Amino acid sequence: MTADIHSLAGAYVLNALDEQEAVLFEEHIAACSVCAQEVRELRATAGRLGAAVGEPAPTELRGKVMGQIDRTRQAVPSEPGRSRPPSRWRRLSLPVAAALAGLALVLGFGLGRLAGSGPADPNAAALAAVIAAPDTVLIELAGPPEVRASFVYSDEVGSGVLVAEGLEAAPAGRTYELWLITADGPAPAGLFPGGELTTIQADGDVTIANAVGITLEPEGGSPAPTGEILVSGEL
Amino acid sequence: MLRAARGDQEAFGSFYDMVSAQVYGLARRVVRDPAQAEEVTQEVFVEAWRRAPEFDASLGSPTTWILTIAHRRSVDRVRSEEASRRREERLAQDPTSIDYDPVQETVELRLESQMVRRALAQLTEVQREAIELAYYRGFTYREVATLLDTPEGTIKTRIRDGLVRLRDTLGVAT
Repeated sequence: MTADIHSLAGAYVLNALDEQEAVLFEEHIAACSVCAQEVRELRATAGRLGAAVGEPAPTELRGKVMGQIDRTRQAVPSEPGRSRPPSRWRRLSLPVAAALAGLALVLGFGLGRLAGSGPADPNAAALAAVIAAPDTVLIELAGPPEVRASFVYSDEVGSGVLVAEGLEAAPAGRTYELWLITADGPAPAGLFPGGELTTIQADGDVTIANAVGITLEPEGGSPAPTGEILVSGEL
Repeated sequence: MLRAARGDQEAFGSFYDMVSAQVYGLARRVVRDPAQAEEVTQEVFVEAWRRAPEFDASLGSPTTWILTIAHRRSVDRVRSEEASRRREERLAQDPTSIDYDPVQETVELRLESQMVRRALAQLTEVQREAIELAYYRGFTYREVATLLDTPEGTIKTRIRDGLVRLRDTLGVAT
């Protein structure tokens, strides 16, 4: 399924995206003023849907709330000019400096690893660049039910990134291989070990590719696929 | 809200009086169980208090802001592992049990309720169904697609087109 990322604003304001897509979309609206404006407007509309189902809260609740705020410290105001969608960011509670790496974090690099790491992961940086592009496209890849995989790409940036979770770690002596499929057939686009989460930039020209696929290959990879296609999608 | 942002509890109390019915009503609609709705409402106001200094009026009204928090927290509650398991079991037993009940009239907010109901009535049946399942029941658009046996892309489009139409009918301001 091809999804134009701009079309996600409606589902986003209804909190109807799953976590991964919501994070991708938030990265996108940080860079796309058209979507940011649409989100502001549709969020107000969603608020009207919420306001329409009001019913009086139990009277004792006011006392509980006021008692609790009396014991709750307020947040220090964040730096001006950097506005963010509220709740999800709060839940991630990332330092601003890690904003780009935040995506990688959510996609599974893990808080501990991020906290202790030095330079940003180049794949995460590539992903952030693709997502910020004006022509970002997110493709859901088809595969076994336990695998969730997406390919995010931008012709303008000329780059595409695979994000996959649930792919079992490749058995000893084997590796996963990513393929960019063009009119000339599949071209090798990178090797990865699988395991819980993978974020890998496709090595090759995504602008001429019309599909991506993943196979299991002997260690070191193959020049052309030998294993069956496990996960794939059309661009 | 600006006074509340500077630590004025009395101002925050007035804000509570102004929006508590909306917050509680929404939580009640999404999580269903009154006791849980009360917990969610309390969490929402404590979060709003804590984050009041971050509130940015240029991005929307305080009501929109707190209802965004309220919806997110309500949805988190119904999507918590146990709740969603129970919901799936129920749906597996009886797929027709997805009652996306229409917006009900309430005393306090009758006018708002009527306006929204009228606006919802102007949507196509399928747009309304998708929006109500997503917003009032807390389903993701993927779940809505599965429930309605409709392609995900179609559901996404219905949700967006429906919301845009609601926006145009209701006006942007809150």
